Amino acid sequence: MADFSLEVDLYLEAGVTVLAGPSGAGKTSFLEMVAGLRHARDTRIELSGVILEDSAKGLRLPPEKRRIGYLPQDVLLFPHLRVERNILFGVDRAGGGESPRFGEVVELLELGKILSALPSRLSGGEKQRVGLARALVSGPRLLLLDEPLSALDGGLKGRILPYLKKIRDRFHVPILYVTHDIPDILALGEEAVVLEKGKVLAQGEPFSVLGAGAVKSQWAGVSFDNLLEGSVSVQDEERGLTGIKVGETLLWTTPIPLRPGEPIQLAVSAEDILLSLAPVKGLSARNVLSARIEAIVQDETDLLKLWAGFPLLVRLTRGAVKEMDLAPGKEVYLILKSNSVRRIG
Amino acid sequence: MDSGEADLILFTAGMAFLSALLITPPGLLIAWLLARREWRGKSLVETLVSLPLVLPPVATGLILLKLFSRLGWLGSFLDRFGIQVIFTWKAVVAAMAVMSFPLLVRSARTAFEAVDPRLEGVARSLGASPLRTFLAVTLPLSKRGVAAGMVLAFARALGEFGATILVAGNIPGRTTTLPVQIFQFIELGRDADAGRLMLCSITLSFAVLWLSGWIGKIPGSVGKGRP
Repeated sequence: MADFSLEVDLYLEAGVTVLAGPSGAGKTSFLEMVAGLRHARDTRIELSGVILEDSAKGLRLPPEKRRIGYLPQDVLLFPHLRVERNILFGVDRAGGGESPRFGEVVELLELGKILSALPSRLSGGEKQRVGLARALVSGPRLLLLDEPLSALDGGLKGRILPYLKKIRDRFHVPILYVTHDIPDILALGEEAVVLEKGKVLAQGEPFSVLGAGAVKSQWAGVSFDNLLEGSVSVQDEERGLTGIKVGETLLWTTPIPLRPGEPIQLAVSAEDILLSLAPVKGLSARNVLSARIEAIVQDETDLLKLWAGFPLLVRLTRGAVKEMDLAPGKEVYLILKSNSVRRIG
Repeated sequence: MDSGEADLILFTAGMAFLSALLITPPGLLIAWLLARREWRGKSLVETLVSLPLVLPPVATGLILLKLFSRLGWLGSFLDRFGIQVIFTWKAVVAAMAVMSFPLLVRSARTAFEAVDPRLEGVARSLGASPLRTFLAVTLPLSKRGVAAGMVLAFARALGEFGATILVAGNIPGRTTTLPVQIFQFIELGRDADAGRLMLCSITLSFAVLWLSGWIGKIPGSVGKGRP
């Protein structure tokens, strides 16, 4: 790959950092360099005090010594090995091929049933989870995930995201997660870095990064989906609604054939939520939630971040925001139609 | 066919087998380097490796003769250990090895190139050394092509004549191979005997070539590198 320049000077501290940007921005190249699979001039990479690479000093740790778990965009499971062998590949043979983590990871990612399958028999989502398990079981100091959600459609996306969150919470391994989908920076990360044409455009708290000048054009036409996790609470056949508990809030959707207690992932588009300054009665919409505005990011439209017992994004026109005098801290009401709340998993 | 001829075939096949085994480690190493690495002088190596395919076999035989004769570079070195190569079975193996080497390298290189190099990158990131990566990932995924290459090298060795006759000569019971014997029968006018051995040769070559093709083609759980 000739003629490509990457000028990145980053200091990352967070548990989960999202690296976003359009294709060709250099995100995959960056990950490959951190993993030691690609080299460039004038590089210095340090991880938790260990120098991985330093061109000036002529130091370079080979990939097998970096203890970094890498999940490439195409997952790349070893086609000749069954799932179990794939997952255990990173475990030191000298140690007898045993891994205390194996059982935990298999349970967390729900891979018990497919351990003896060959990769060619797996679905896209299953391959992702096996790839994740393989990277995790090797006991890495850092996890690099290259577009872990991009090959999946909305439904699967909603299903993998909870797994990523579980990994973050259970294993405490720092994650650097790459995506070309701007809304993804809000899904998981504590810190976001936006890259374009090999340069860092912005870095910081995810929502505020969206407001950075050069980043705005990247989300101009993009729709933002709120991804929510909840469990079925009640089936109201009379009114033709299913009630789902998200946090402490009850959301009503069009009927979903699940039993109470079953987990479910939902999506509500930021463009489908209405905002009102006062509680409205006599509305056809079934969901009226009270919420507080936390932050606003402005471009051609405005993106608001609210807290309704869980975070929600709402997209409004600039005119509406101005007329209603919306600002962080204000208490408002959110209106959601039951059929805008979609089940994705 | 009498027992002498059966021994002849066994000898020829045995030497070919030995030569195939001998060229495998260096052949795979060079094939891997050609498939995965770039370096200054790479095309020179590629050309050298392919030379025996194109050079007249007798010319190659002559080069080997000069190398292994007692005055030659390798020959004088081996002579110190009392090892003589010229006009012994070792020369047969040497001639077969050199002539079939390019076939193994070409087949193995193609097989290695068909394995997605990114898989090797993932293996490395998981802690596998370059050697382990080769043994655990590259080789299993290319084994059909490599095996077919080895069988092809074996087939070529079976039929080796020009270099063999020059460096190993035609010593009945010691260095005479099947092709050399056929030639001798023709020279002596023993057409029937030549014809009979020719049929053996054709049968043998046919069987080995067919085997090579079959190995390269079996639909298995893994064909090439990409999942």
